[in-house]
Amino acid sequence: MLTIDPKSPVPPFEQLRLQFVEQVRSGELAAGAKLPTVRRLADDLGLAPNTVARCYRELERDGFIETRGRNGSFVSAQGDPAEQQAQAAARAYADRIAQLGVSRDDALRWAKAALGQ
Amino acid sequence: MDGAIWFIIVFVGLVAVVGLAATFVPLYARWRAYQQSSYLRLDLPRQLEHAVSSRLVARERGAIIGALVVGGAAVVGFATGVVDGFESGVTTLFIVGAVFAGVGLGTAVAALTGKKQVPSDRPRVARSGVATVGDYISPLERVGAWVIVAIAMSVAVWIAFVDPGSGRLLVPTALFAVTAALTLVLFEVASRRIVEASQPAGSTAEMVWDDALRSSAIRDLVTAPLALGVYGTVFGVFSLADRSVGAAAVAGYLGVGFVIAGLAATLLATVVSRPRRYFLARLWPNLRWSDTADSDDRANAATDAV
Repeated sequence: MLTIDPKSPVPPFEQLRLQFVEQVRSGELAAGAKLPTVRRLADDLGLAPNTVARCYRELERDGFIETRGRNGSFVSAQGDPAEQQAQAAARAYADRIAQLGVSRDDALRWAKAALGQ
Repeated sequence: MDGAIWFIIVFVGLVAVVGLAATFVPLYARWRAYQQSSYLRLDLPRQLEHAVSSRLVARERGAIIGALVVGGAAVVGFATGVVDGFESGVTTLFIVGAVFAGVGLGTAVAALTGKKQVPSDRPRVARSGVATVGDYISPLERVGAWVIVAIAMSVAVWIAFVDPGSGRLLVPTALFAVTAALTLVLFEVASRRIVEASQPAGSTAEMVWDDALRSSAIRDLVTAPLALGVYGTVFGVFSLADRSVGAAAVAGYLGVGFVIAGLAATLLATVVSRPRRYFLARLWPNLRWSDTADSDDRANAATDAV
């Protein structure tokens, strides 16, 4: 969840950027997760589209997100190559679980069992 | 149309008019909002009460007006003889089918109109990820609508193939199937538009409730293709079995049995899977009942717990 406080001394652009960085680092936004379009996020948060576009550009420059042409912006895999591969595999598993309509609890239980926990 | 059909039409029309009048009564609107809160097991904060109740009744109003307009047009068509040549049982089915199509149309118009504004000096919240139509409606209902409409279309094609001269059977079945397909397209287009619309919210509770209203609108939209698909399938298969003889009739009645058993199983699975709360499991998996309560209520609850 993103929150923009118009009364905060921190500019909206920076509030947005910091929250995205925090969510990517904490794993709340997993590698491969799609971000809202610039226009949609600007409408939702009551910001100018340029503010959101600038935030996305800086996040892309810092390696947190990547833009795949007309498909939109996605969270980049973070960490060393092994961690990046693991994050991509986790995203593929999550996408497949969503396609199958399986509950999150079952998906987590099976993942834990497969990991031998 | 005979007297019994007129009695049903007048009765249903009166119920719809009373229902429409109720949507203008503030007490009814509040009751609907808290009923939704109870179904979803989600607290309704006082500051959202007016917004939620007015959006709920606005959609309900749209659905009733749609039903009255399209259903009324069907009644006028049959009563004046503009549409003629059907058995009285089929006439009733057509009128009910028109009512379902009207509900779908009215819900779509009501859900897609009206804009929500948040004062500019309030904090704004937004989702950092992307939600899709699949997050708001269970696959059972969405895929179920596609499957039942496909079956209804197949039944119409089958009738055209085995008995092309039987207009009294083919025309109603084909009409149900085509209307079901059209309302399915309406559902897909309108639900995408609903999900893609911006979602200005001043708090998490506001966003959860907006998701609840979106989910409820999308589930209302899928009712029309589901109902019309079921009508087309049951009517087509049953009529075909009724007009067949020998082994074909046995096969036809077996088909009726399969269709009814399939519908009953789907209905049971839908009820058991609690589709109304599906969006909460998808979009808000860790949300608790009290998370959307007023902040002072939450503070009191915390104090009581201590």
